Amino acid sequence: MTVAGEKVIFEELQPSETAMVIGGGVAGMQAALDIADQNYKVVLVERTPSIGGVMAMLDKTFPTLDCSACILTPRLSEVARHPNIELLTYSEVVGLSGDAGDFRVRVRRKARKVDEEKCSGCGDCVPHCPVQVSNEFDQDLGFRKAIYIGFPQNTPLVYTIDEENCIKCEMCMKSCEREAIDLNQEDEEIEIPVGAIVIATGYELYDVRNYPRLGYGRYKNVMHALEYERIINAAGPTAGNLMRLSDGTIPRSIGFIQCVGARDVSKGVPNCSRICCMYAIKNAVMAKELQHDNVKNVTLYYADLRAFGKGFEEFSEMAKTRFGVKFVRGRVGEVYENPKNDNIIIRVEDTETGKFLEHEHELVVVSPGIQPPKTLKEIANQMRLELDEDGFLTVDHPSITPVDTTVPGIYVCGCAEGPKDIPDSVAAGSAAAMRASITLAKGGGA
Amino acid sequence: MGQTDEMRSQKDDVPIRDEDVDREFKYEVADHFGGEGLLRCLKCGACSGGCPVAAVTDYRPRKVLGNVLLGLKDLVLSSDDIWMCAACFTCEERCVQEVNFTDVITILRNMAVREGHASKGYLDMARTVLQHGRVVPMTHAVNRMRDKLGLPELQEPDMEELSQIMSSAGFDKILSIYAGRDTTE
Repeated sequence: MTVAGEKVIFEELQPSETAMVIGGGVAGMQAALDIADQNYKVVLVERTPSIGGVMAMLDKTFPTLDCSACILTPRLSEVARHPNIELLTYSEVVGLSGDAGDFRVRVRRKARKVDEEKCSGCGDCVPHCPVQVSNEFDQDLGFRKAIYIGFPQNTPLVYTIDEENCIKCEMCMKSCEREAIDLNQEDEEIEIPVGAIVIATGYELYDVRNYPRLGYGRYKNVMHALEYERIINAAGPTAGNLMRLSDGTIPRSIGFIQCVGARDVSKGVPNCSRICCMYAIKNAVMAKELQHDNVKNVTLYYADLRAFGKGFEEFSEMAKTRFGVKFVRGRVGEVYENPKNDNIIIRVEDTETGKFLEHEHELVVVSPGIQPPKTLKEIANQMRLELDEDGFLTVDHPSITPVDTTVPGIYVCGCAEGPKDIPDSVAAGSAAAMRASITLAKGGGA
Repeated sequence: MGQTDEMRSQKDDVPIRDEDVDREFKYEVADHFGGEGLLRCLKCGACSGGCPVAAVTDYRPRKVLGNVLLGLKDLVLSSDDIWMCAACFTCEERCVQEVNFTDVITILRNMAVREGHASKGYLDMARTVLQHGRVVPMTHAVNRMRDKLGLPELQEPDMEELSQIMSSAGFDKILSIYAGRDTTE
C-alpha cells in the first residue's frame, strides 16, 4: 500500500509505536483513524478484499436516511490515504503471542494473485475473464468475474483473483498492461510487532434458513433484509430498481417479518439484535419513497417495536403517519406461496385485536438478527479472550470499561462485542482507539 | 386477504373484575410438570399465528395463556377454548420462549375436569374407556379391516384388571362428579 509513503516492512515496526486493528468495517476504520491521528502507526487487517464492512453494502442509514455510501466512501479514502495506516486486506490473523505493549501477531496474507503495488484498478482484465460467479458483496444476487472487485469503491482499488473459481486461462494476464497479475503468488505469513490490538470483526446475519416456516430459500419472493438492501441500492444488481425476484415486477405490496433469529430462546438466540426494528422501518420507508405510486401496501409484522435511539421513535412515527407504513403486532406464524402468482401469504395473529390475518404480499422481506461471525471464536481462542454466552466478546466491565476485553492491551469495538447500530459502532471505535493509544503511550502498562 | 373470523370473541367484551382474578392461578399451573414455561410467555402471538385451529375458529392459544397469566381461573377452566386444541404441537415447536403450550393445555384440561368442566365429548370418551377399556369401542368393521391386512384379531381387554387400575388411579372418582349428567349417546 503505497498510496502515501514508501513501502513498509511489517516485521520491523516498533511495537511501542504501532497498534493493530482487526476488521475494516465502520468501527475498525474509526478506531484506525483515531489511533493514526495521534501519530501512532496502525496496521488494519481485513479478511475480505476491501475495507468498508457491512455498511458498504447498505443503501441508506437510519434514522436520517443518509446514503450509506455517501458517508462511508470518504472514510474509506481517508483510511487508505492516511500516512500512518497500513492496510492489509485479504488477510487473516492466525496467531498471537506476547503481552500488552509487545504483542507479536501472525497474519496470513492470502494470495491475491494481483500485485497491490502495480494494479491500478483499471478493470481492463474483467471483460477478458471467462468465469462468472455470484457476487458475495451483492448477497449472491449479482454476478462478478473470477478476477473482481466487490463494489466500485473497493478500497484499496486492487483486483483480486478468487482461487476457487479461477481456471488459470491467463486471459487476464494478457490483458493487463501493467503486468500486475501473478497467478503463482502464494499465501504469505508475516509476524507483526504491535503494542495494542483493537478487535472489530463485526457480525454476520442469522441464517434465516433455520426458519423453514418462513419460506426463505424455498420461495423466490422471500428475501432477507441485506438482499433487499442490495436490490434497492443504485450500485446493486438491479441498479436500484425495487423488484421481486420471481418475475422482476415492482411489488405493489411488501411485508416485513421481524424478530427472526433474535429473541428466540428455542433457537439459541435469546438476545435482542437492537437494529432490526429500525432497519426494517427504514426499508419499509424506502419502498414507499422509491416507488411511491406503485407500492400501495407496506406492512411490518413485529413482536415489540424497539425504537430506542435518538430520533428513532420519531422516525417510526414518521413511517406510520407520513409514509403510511402499517404495523401489525404479532410474530408471523408461517408463510406460504400462492402458486398462481408467486405471491406470499403471511399468517399471523394481530395480537392487538385478536384477529387471525392471512395477508397476501407480492414480496416478503425477513429481517434477520445479528450473530457473531464464525471466525470470532477462532480469534478469541488465539488471543485467550473470553466469549459471552451469545458468542460475542466479553468485556472487562460492561458499564465502566465497555471496550476493554479480558486481556490487557486488547480492545474491542463494534458488533464484535454485541449488536450495535452505526453511531454506536463508531463511538465504540473511537473509545477503543483511545484505550489502545493509552496502552501504547504507557508502553504496555495499564 | 381473507379473514376467517370477522366476529370477535364474546369474552373480550366482558370487563375483568378484581374478584375474578386468582393471583395464584398461574403459579398453580406452572407448578405442574410441563407448565414451568408458562411464566416465560411474552404474548407475541407466534402460537396463534401457526395454529391450524386458530385459522378456522376464534380460538387463540395466546389468549388462553394471557387469561391464565391474568389469573382468570374460572373463565379459563369453564371456557370451550381449552378443549379446542388439536395437540398438533406446532405452537410448542415454534414458541420462542419454550412455553410448551400443549402441556399447559393438558394441565388446564385436567384441572377443568376436576372442577366439573369436562367437555361433553371427552366425558363420552372417558365413559367408553371405563365401560369397554377402549377409547373407540371394538366393532366388526375394524376386525374385518385387520383381517384384510393380515393382522391378528383384537383381544378383549381384561376389564377387571383395567377397572382396578382406573379406580386406584382415581379415574372413576373424577368421573363420579359427572354422575347423572347427559352424554350425547
